[in-house]
Amino acid sequence: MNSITNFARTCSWLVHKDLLRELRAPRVWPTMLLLGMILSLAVEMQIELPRDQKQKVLGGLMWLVIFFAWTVVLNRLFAGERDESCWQALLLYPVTLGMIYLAKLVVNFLALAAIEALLVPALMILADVPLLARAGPFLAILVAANLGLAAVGTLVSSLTSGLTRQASLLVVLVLPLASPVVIGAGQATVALLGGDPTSSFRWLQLLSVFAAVFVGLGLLLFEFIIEE
Amino acid sequence: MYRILIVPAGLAALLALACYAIFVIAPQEVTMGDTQRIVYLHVAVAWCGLAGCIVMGATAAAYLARRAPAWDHWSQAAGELGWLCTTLTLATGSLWAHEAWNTWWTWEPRLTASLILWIIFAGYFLVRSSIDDPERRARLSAVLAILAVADVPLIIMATRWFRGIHPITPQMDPRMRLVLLISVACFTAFFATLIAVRRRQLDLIAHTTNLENASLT
Amino acid sequence: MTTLAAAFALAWTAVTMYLGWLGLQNHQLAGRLHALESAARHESASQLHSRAA
Repeated sequence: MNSITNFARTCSWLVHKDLLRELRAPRVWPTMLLLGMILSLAVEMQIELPRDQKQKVLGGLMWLVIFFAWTVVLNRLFAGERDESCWQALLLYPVTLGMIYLAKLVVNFLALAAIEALLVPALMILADVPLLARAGPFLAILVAANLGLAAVGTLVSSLTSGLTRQASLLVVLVLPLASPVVIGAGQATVALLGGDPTSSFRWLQLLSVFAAVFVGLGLLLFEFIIEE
Repeated sequence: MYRILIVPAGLAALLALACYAIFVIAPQEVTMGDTQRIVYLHVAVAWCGLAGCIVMGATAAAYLARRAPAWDHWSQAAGELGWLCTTLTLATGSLWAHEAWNTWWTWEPRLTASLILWIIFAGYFLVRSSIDDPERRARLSAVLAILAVADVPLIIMATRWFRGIHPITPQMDPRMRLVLLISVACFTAFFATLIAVRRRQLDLIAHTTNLENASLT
Repeated sequence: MTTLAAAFALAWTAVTMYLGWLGLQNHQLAGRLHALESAARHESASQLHSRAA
């Protein structure tokens, strides 16, 4: 019991550290949110369709917009520890690599949640997409998709953080690997908007399986990436 | 002295057997005629591409467990041949689709999944080419390979629920089924041999690099 | 019929190109090994020479 609270406390400390640093000197989150806004406006302006078809298309495209805005944060996820031997200092603390992975995962999750908090109302108001008509299932989709994306993203981000072509490689690697989530979340949202909750639930199951598999894999494989 | 010809002769024999089966044994199909024979090639290379991906992932896991460079070479070789086969899958599939459905491409499950797999392979080799240190390269690409293999079933599931006009198991004349089996077996053996050959070459290249580095010091 | 031929020609070309690339790597490898061998021979010859002197 003690070790679990210890684990939770250390993870929350690591998350708090990252969020605090971002808050004090905002580098990526404002860019991410702005990019999300710009992309969703650009997408919405391009689509000249009757209302219900527009809803379907936007329900799917929304996830692509979320993904690309999120890559801004993903790029800089491990960059914070690059300067002044911060990474070595971090490893000297009594933190396990699993804790670091989960902490970075939570930071990613929160970043995704932030984009969604901005985009969902924006799409509801500007494009008249009734995303919160069934709030419960929609929230479940958000949580499952965010977990899956965060799991894959954290892993790949750590993998590419030391490479020369880091930024360009990152999106090329993450998008195909995360394609079940992007497809699945899009389809689940579209199904929910179209009044097809059973279909939506099936996609939600896929998202949950993806999240479970990749969080597990992440915990397993993170130590192999980080070997110094 | 002629031992060196065993492998090429074997490979040629496998290809000859496959071609004999595809062109001679297989009966003419009713609706599409001879063009239907592409299917025997397409299914074979599609299976080889997937198998290549699985072998790449399995040997990558072995590398992370054992850290012997030979495992990394198996992984790279399997990845190369898997990528080649996936490319051929997309190409032959596209040619067949043009004849069958009058369109070069369609966003349906297996084609989309194959395309995503192709892109994952491309990313794998991009990562490999951007790291110089052999140990680091082996380790990071091993992790990526494992992620890819874990992802493939999920990609297939996702794309299968997405849309579907790809034939799943069409009704097949028993002779056609036999030819399909022969084709898959021959091409699998062919590409497996190529993987072994390439792996050996990679071993030699690594060994030579070690010798060069040793002679410099 | 031409589609069938195109498919097989494509496969044949791709595999041949790959094998050609492997052959090229073999050739480069042979060059490197030859260079190593002559360097080693030169090294041992100069060692004998300096020992004799």
